[in-house]
Amino acid sequence: MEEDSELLFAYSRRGDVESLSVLVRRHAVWMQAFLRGLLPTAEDAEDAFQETWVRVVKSAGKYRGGKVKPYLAVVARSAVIDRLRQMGRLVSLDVEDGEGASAAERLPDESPSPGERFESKATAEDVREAVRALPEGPRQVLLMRIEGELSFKEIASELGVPLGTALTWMRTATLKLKEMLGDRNERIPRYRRFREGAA
Amino acid sequence: MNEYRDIEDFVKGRLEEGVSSSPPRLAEIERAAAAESFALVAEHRSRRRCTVAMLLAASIAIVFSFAVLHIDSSPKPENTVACVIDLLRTADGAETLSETSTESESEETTVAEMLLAWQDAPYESAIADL
Repeated sequence: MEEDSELLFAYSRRGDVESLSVLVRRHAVWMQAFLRGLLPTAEDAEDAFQETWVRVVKSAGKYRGGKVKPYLAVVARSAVIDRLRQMGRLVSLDVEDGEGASAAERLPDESPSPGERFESKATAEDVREAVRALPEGPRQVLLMRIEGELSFKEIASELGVPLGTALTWMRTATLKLKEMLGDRNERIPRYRRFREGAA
Repeated sequence: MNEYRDIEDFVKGRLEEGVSSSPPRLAEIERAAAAESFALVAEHRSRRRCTVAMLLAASIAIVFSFAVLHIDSSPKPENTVACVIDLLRTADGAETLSETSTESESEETTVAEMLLAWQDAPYESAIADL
């Protein structure tokens, strides 16, 4: 199987549209999930998906190698920003709430204990809702990390925030999602019943 | 730390669940790609030609400067300055210089001996000379 970078070079150097199609198909799932997490509706995500690839096509000549997935995530995010700007829904990352605390400082007190397992019955739609309910900064960091696979350094640079802020936002996102989605007490008895039944 | 990883994996799994693996509007993307491909290929070819031309020019410049340096370094007898420099550089020149200095040194030695001889001359002889 050809590497992503080879496919992108095949398109930008030889005009091989089929290579680009393979690349689009290969990255379709995570990119749609990424865009759905950042935009309000599925239609917006679909438009942004197309816009992302048109931008990739136009800037393919400037690609000089390196990991393709984080590169695509950065292009996708810029398409999202432009779309939100058009919709008048762009929220500043360092926006503060009424009490003067930034999103990074509104951390839940609860910390997971080491070795504790996360369990949840939440459906895909529950998770999408929960992700969309996150503050802007933590949401972007979470999606760039888990879907775009960017390093925290790259995320911080992309968002224009210090590395510590990016890490804090990731922690905020994770803890808030745990708070919204976790229902360990329901899951563990079900798992135990299954084990007992099998024995 | 395990729990953080668990939550990330869980969220990723759920976000990607039910998402179609066939890309939306692929035909439109392909059309845009086909329209842009000519410009991209032309740009790439032009960049490659430029690089090749620059490499060629650099190679010619290196070969030319090497040849010029090589020619310049050979002796030119008709050139006085070059001759003098050459004379100073060559072994013969070095010998000539050393001979000159030896002669001058021996001359100096003779004078010194004469002076010493004069100073040491017996008083009687000097009177006799008078």
